[in-house]
Amino acid sequence: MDGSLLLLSMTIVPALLGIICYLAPGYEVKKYVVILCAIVLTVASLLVLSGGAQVIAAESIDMAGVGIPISPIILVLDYLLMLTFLWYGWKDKEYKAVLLVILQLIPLTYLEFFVQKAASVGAATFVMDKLAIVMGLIVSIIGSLILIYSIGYMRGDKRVSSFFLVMMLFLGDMNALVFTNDLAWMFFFWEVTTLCSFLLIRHYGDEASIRASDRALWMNLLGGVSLICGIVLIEHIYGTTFLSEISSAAGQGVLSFLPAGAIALPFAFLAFGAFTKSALMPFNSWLTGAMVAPTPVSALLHSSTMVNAGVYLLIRLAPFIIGSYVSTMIAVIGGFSFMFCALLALSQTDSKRILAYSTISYLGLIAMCTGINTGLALTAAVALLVFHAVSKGLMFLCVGKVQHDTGARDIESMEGLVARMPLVAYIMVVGLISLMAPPFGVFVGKWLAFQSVSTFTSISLSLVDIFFIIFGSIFSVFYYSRWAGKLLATKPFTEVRPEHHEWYTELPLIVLGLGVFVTVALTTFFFSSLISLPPAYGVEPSKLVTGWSIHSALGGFSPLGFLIVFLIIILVPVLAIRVPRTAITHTYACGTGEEPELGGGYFQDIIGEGVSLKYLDPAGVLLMIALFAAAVI
Amino acid sequence: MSLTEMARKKSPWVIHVGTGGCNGCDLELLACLAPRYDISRFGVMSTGNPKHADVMLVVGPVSLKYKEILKNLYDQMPDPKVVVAVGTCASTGGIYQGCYGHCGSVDKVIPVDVYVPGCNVRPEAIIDGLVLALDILNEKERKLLSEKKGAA
Amino acid sequence: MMAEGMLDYAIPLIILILSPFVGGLLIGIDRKVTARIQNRAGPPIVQPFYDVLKLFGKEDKVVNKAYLVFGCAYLLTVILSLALLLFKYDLLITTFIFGLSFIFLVLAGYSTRSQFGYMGATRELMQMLAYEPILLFTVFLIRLVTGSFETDAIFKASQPLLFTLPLALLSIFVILPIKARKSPFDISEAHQEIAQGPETEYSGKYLGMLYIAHFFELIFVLWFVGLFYAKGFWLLPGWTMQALLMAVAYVFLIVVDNLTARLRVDQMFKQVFIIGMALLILNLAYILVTGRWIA
Repeated sequence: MDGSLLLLSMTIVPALLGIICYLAPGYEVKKYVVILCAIVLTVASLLVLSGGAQVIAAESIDMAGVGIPISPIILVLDYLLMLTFLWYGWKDKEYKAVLLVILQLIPLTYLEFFVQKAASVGAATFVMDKLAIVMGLIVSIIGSLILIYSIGYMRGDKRVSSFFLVMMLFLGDMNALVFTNDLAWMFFFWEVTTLCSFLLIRHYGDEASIRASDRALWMNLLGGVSLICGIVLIEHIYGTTFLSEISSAAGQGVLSFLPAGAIALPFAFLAFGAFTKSALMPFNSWLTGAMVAPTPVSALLHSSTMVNAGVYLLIRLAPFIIGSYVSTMIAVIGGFSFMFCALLALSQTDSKRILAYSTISYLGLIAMCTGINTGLALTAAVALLVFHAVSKGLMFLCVGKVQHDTGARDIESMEGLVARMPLVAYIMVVGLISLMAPPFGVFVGKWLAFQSVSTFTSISLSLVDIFFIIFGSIFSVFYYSRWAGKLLATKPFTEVRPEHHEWYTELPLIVLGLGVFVTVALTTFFFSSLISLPPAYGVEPSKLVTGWSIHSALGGFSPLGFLIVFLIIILVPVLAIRVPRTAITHTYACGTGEEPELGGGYFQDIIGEGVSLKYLDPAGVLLMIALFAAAVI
Repeated sequence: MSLTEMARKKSPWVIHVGTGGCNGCDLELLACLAPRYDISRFGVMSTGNPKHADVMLVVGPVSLKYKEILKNLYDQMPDPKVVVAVGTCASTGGIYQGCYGHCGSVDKVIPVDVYVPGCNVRPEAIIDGLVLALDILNEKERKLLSEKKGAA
Repeated sequence: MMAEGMLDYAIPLIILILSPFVGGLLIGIDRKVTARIQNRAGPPIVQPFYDVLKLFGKEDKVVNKAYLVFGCAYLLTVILSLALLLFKYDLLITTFIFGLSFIFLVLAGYSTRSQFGYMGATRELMQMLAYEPILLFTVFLIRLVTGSFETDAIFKASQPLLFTLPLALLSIFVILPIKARKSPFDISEAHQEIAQGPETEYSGKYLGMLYIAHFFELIFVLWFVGLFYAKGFWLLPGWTMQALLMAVAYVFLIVVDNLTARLRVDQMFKQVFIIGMALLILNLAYILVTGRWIA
């Protein structure tokens, strides 16, 4: 199918459908518009997948024979967006945001009006290479499932029209961000995601939500400032803002006040922007605070798609900074976030906060892989991106359903959930095991990451990464298995109650749960056909695949084979064990027959947020300073 | 004697329950585990958990507070199981007979298979009683199996 | 050619089948030696087999079905990881599958909903926090020295691992009591403190399965130590040296068990991390400085 038509249907059509949904009367009509949007997105992304990689050089949208150039439209919308931020910042008395918007306006104006841009005729403005197609698939399919979930979840909510409008606008914008090739356009799409996140976090309108949304706003705006500065520097040094046109050979025209070796400085700025978007340390507080938003928002923006934009940018930048100090610092920052956010997640009892910290932790792992910057590491990064999005989206949706039905978010209250809500509880256990255990997808990514960390040709600071990855993965086993075990802990003589079914919220859970297994089984296909690296790496991921197993030079295993073995190991006992009614007896409580209060093991005095963040935040700030220092050395 | 029956005789796991009283027999029981008398040469392991145990060694007269607990622990033990009442107080109530706070002997609460008298009971007597209990274990299992076959 | 291929598969298979018996005998010998040190007679050395057979002859008393499933999964995963180790699969994957078996044990402990199971499972997780970094770091060092994660590479390396990674072997010895559930680090099954920890609610044949799993586990741990000397020495063939190293580790376990008392969790962390990590970092520095690593 025609690439530009598909692109249109993935970006503009959801936004239009969002506006139609806003105007539509009554929940029933809105419901059908949302379902239509979900179908359009899914079909379009699958068609893009089957169509293969392509390049679209669209400078303008053709409507009824009149060509409307896109760049000026984006510029106008950019300024409107800045004004919106200014208005919100002023209204909420969040003066940091106001200051940061002004700081953003200066480089933006400079870039658009005062810089001589080399005219690149017919340059590709939208590139649909394999990485972009994979990201588009994640955004569209998981986004569609979350839209269907929200139909059931947001029923009866007062401001549901604006919710769906912003969600669908966000989906269209996220697709555009993933496919765009021009960094200046990407900046616009990036800031629209900031706006969408800001509006969605303050959906409930209470004190905590407004404060959380303001914090998200100024941290993301800080990243935006850094992003636009980086884009200006790239324009100066490389003479173009198109990602596909940046090549290290064209590195001339460094600004006079920078040392000659500062060729990687713009990438440091862009990386800083990516770090704020992905909420890596020290910017983690906006993501954990954003958990006051409705759960579909957390599932879509804050685990599967928006925060992935940051690490997506890092993957795109990786080929330009191979072997530089900036790359090493990105790896250290990513590893630091991975280990210490996993440690913080250990101390939490609120399920959404555990998932938030664990999201930041895995994003840190992906960032670490992009920092290590070998072919194997980038393959690991892309694999982790996909598998983590599926599992984490599934977990957030399950937690949302539990909160919706029982009103509690704390994992202590989820003890024995299997007896009250069996379907959701079993899917949750599947999701939790898929995040930590072999042979599932996240484990495949972690394994590849481990292999790539242990492959170095020269001794450098990246040896620290081995510590980060070992400790981080063990911490993640800790908090996931504790949660999974609690879900299954039923009292001896309880009956399983029949569950109240609501198909809009449960169908996405079932689909994603099955998706976890299917994606693992198809890992080898994924590697051989959907990941391709730039030639600078000299390694083709498809070479890693032999038959049903993945083999690098260091060793390999077969995900499908181990999945089958794993299923046998679990299913054979499930089917073969019979528990006769006469065999059920009390737990051993020293014979008293009382059930004591069980809980604890969160170690909040040792590793709780109040204690750890005192040390971790300054360490994070120091690492950011080190990032920029590494760029100018 | 089949393999399982021989294994049952060679590996009795013991739960030691003290139900109130002067604890004199408790100390003698603990002395059995010590090097001089060493019941571990019979394969005895003292677990604290009724679900793992075959033989319940009950010491002391059953105080009223402990009655429910003793019944609970007995119910949690899987078949085949043997109860050995160790000491005079456990067998007949001993010096606590007629006291307001005690039920008397253990067999008023749970069925007892072996009575080992003594105040304090001597470790050699405990070992004697334990060895008697091992044969009773196998007898009980045979009875259970024939009952199950008869009911089926 | 055909016979060689068959032998490659037959020998590990035979070792796998004999493993529970050898493991049980080793545990029995351990109990006998401990008893003798304490000046008493002790049970016969085939006692663990009597225990297992007796357990299979008892009826079930269970709490719910979830922890039984995980208990069986634990046994099957331990057998799988030992099979992977014997058949010379990828060492990193084998270590992770071995870790998966403990995840199942922890899940079993939590899903019993008893206080002893809960505390035992939390302590088991903390023990995992202590030994898994050392184990993974050692695997990383093995990869640096032999050039890949394949177990084959260890056998084909020019020098036995003992010569290039002596301090790593010492750090493995530090965590050996944790894996074999012996003093000073038998914290998760602190018999006098929390009944049997995660295994409290098991009875009958399911407890028997956990015991068999412990037999396999002991052999896995000892075989991993044995990998450190996989070459021949003078006239002795490779497998003799392996067995010798395994015997040294086993004797070490018994001696340390009898000499020490159980430690608290924080003491375990301090000792394992300070001593173990220090040894590993020294070893890493040694191989980096002398250039004995392969990129």
